[in-house]
Amino acid sequence: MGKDHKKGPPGWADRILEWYCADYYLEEVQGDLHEWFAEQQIRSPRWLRMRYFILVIRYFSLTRSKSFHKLINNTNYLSMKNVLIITWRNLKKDKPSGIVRLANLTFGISIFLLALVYANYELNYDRYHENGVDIYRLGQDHGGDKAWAASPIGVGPFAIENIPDVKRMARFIPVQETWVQVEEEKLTEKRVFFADSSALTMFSYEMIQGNPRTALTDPFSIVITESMAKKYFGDKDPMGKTMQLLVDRGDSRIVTGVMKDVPAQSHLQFDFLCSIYSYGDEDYQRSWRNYFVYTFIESEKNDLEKIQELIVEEFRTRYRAGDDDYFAAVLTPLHNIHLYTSQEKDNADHGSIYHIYILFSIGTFVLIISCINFINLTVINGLDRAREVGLRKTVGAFRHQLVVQFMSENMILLVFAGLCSALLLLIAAPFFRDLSGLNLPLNFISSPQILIPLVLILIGLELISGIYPAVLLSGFRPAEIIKPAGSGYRGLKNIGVTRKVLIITQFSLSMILVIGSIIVYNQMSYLKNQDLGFKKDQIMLIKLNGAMRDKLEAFKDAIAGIPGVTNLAISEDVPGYRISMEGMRVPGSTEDIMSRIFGTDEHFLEAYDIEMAQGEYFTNAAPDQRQFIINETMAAMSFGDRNPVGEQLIWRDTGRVVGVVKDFNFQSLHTAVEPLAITRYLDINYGFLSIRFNPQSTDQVLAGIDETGRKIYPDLPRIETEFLDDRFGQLYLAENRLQTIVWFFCLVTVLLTISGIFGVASYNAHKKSKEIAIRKVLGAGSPEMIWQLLKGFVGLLIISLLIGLPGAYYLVTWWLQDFAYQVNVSPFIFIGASFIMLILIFVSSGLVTFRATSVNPATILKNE
Amino acid sequence: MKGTHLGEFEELILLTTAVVDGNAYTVSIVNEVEKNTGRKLTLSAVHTALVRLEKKGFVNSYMGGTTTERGGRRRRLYKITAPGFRTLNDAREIRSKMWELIPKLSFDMIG
Repeated sequence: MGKDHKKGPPGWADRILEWYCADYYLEEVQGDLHEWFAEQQIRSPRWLRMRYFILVIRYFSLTRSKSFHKLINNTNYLSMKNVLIITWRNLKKDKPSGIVRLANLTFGISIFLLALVYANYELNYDRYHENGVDIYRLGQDHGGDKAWAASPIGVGPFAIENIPDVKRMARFIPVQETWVQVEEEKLTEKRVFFADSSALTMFSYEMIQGNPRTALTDPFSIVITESMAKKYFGDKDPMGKTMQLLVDRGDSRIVTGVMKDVPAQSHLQFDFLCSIYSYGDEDYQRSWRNYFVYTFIESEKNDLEKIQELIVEEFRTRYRAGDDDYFAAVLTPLHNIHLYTSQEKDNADHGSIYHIYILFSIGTFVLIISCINFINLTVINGLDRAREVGLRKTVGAFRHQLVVQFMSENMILLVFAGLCSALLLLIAAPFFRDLSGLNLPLNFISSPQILIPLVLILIGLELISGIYPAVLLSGFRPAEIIKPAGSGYRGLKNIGVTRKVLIITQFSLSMILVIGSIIVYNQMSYLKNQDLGFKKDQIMLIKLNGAMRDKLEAFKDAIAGIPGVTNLAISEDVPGYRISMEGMRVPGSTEDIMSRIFGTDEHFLEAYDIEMAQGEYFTNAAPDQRQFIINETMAAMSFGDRNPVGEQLIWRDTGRVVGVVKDFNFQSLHTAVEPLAITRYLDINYGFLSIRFNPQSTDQVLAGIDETGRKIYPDLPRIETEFLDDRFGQLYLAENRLQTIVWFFCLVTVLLTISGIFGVASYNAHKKSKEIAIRKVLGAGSPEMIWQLLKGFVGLLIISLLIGLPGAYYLVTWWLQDFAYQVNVSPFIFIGASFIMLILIFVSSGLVTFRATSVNPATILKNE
Repeated sequence: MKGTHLGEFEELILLTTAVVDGNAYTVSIVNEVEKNTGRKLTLSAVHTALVRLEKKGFVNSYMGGTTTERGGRRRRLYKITAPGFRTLNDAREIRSKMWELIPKLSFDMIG
C-alpha cells in the first residue's frame, strides 16, 4: 500500500493521454484523473495502475481528440460553416431564384462540357499511334479539284527502297465487299483490307495473339479482330484455322494473328487484314498504273519536300511525262486525315473541323448566356440582402470579407451545379450516343478525365461570375441602406451600363443561335428534298461480285419476274457511290478532261428516269463502235457550243457521243455537278444491279429478291439490298448529326434566355414597385403600367437585333459555303426569328410585370 | 443547436451539478452520485455528459482552484445555468403531473 502511495499514477498512461487529448481538455482531465487515482489508492488500491490505464483509454473520444478539436475550432472551418449556413438560408428564402440559378449553371456547364468533350474526341482521331506524328498518307494531285487519297500500288515499295528518309512504309488496299467463309458458314463482310506486314508494327494496333512482326509476312496469312474471332470461331482458338475469302477466288488463308478491335477514333476501320503479298505477282506489286492503294510512310526527318521531289521525278521518268503535265505528291499527316481532308477516293470516316467550330461556339455561347443569367439573378437576389450587408459593415466587417462571403456562396452554388452537370451528362450519355452516333466519354465514373475540364470550368466561372456580384453587392453603403424600409438602392445607379451590356450580349447571342438553327434545318431539308434529276426513292441496289457472274442472267430474269419490279439495269457504278474519275480527250486536243465515267447496260438511263437534253438512250442493237452519253457539263467542257451528238471522244479507244443528259446530281450536294460520261461497257465484277420498283409493293419485292437469291445462289451469303434513298441519306450523316445537336442546343438557349428575361423583368419590377404603387393609387390601369415597364427593354432589344442579325447572317453564310447547293437565306427567316424572340421576351417579361402591378399598393407603400 | 431534450443520465448529472453547486466537477459529481444513489459512474462518461450539457447551454464552466493530488492542475468547475435549471424543473413537473394521473387502482394492484 505504501509503495503505490508514493509512486503516483503511471507516467506511460499519462503520456498516452497527453498524446491524444486536446490541450483544451488536458489540464482538467489529467487533474481529475490524478485526483481519482489518489482517492482510489486509499479506497481500493487493487489493480489500480491497470484501472488507471483503462480509464485513460475510456476517456478517448472524438470530441476530446487533438485533431478533431483543432479542425472544428479552425477559423476557416468556422467561417466556411457560417457561409454554408448563410447560403442555405438564402436559398431557402427564395427557392425559385435558387432553382433557376442552379438550373442555368447546370445547363450552361453541361452543354459546354458536351461541346468540349465532342471537340476533344474528334481532335484525337488516330492519336493513339505511337509514331503518329511521323506518319503521312502518300497521295497524288493531278491538278483536278481535289487531291487523291489513294496512290498506285508500286509507289510504296519505290519509296522505301529509294528514299533514305522514309523509315517505314505500309500499304492498305480496300476490298469493297466480300464474303468470308469458315467451314460451312459464309457471311458478307465490308471491312476487309490487304495490308503490308509492316502495318502491324508501324501503327500501334494491339495484338492479342500472334507476332506483329511476322503475322502478315506469309502471302496467305490473315489477321482478324477480336470480335471477328468471336463471330467466326466462338470460344475456339482461331490461330492456325483457315478462312476463305471471295476476293482470293477460293484460296484458303491461315489466321496468324488476332488483334483488338480497331479503336473508334481511327479513320481506317477494318475487321480483316490479309497479307498484301498475295495481291498480284512481283511485277504487279511494283506497277504505277491504278490508283487504289492507301500508302502510309513514316519519316522522322521532316524533309518532306525531298521525298515529294523524288516521287515526282520517278513518276515523270515512268510516264515520260512532259513538264507541262501537272503532278504532285501529296503528304497528308495522319492526324489531319479525319478532320481536315476531303480527297478523292477516300473512304475514311470523316469529321469536319467546321462542325467542331460550330458546336464549340454554340457551347461557349450557351455558357456565356447562362453565366449572364447567373450574374443577373445573383445581383437581383442580393438586392434583398442589402440590409444584411449594411448590418455586417456597421458591425465591423471589411469589404474584402464581404467579397469573400459572396464569392464563397457562389462557389458553393457552382460546385453544386458542377455535380448536377456531371450527373446530367451521365444520364444523358446514352441518349446523346443514339442521337449523334458517337460514343463520347461522358460518363464521369468510367472516364474520370471529364472531371478536369469540369473543375477548370468551375474555377473560370467563379472568377467571371463570382467577382462582379460580390464586388457590387459588398459596395452598399450602410447609411443608405439602414434607412426606413427599402428607401434606396441609390448606390446601384452605376450598375445600369454593365447590366445593359450583359442583356444585349445575351439577346444577341440568342438571336444568332435561333437563326442559325433555323437555317441549318432549312438547308438540311433542302438537301433531302432537292430533286436530284432522277428517281432516287424508287430504286434499290444489289452489289454484284464475281461469284454471281455465272448465273447473272438467270438471276436477272427471276428478279424481273417479281411483281412490283418495273425496271432492271446493271452498271459499274451508281449515283450515291463514288464514280471513278478518268481522263478523256477530244480528238485533236492535247489536254485531258477529267471526267467521271462508268459503264452501263442499255436500260440504265430509263430505269433511273434520267431526262435527255439531246439525242437518245442507248439502243439495244449491238453498236459497231463505243457509244457515250455525256451530261451537259461535260458537253460544254468538251465541245463548247458545238452540237455534241455525233462527235468523237477518246477514252481507252475512240467512241461516239450519242446523247446528252440533263445535269443530274449523282453525288451529294456538297459538290456541284461534275462532268460525267456514261458508256456501254460492262465489268460487272464490282458492279450494281439497280431495281426500280413500285413503292406499294416494297415488301413483296424484298421477299422476292431474298427467295430468288436463295434459289439461284444457294452457296452464297444472303443477298443484301440497299435503298438508294438510304445511301444518299448516309452522305449527309454528319449534317444530320449536326442538325439534331444544334436543335437541342437551340432549345436550351431559348429556355435560358427566357429564364434570364424573367430575372431581369423581376428586377425591374422590384426596383419600380413603389412607382407602380403610386401610379396605381393615382388611377393608372395595368396595361399602361406594363408598357411603362417594358419600355426599358425596347431600346436594348433594338440594339441586340442590330448586333445579332448581321452576326447571324455572317455565320450562316460562312457555314453554307461548304455546300455547292445552298438554301435561299431569306430575310423572312430573320424577320420571323426576331418576331418570335420579341414575343417570347414580351410575354415572359409581361407576365412578371403583370404580377407586380397586381399587388395591392397598400402593401408596398405601408412603410412610407 | 442540439435538441433540448435531456436523457436520464444527463438529467442525473445536471441535477448533481445543481446539488454540489460551486464545487461541481467530474470527480466530485461521481462521488456525489455514488453517495446518494450508490451508482458507480466512470469519470469519462461524466465528463462527456458535462461537455454535451455545456454545448446545450445547460451548464457553464470556468477554471477553478487546484490541490496537491492534482499535481497543480486546475479543475474545470461547472455551474448550472438558468435554462438548465428551467429544463430540470420542467422535467420534474412533467413527472409529478404524470404521477398524479396514475389511478388509485394501480396502487392497489401493486400494493
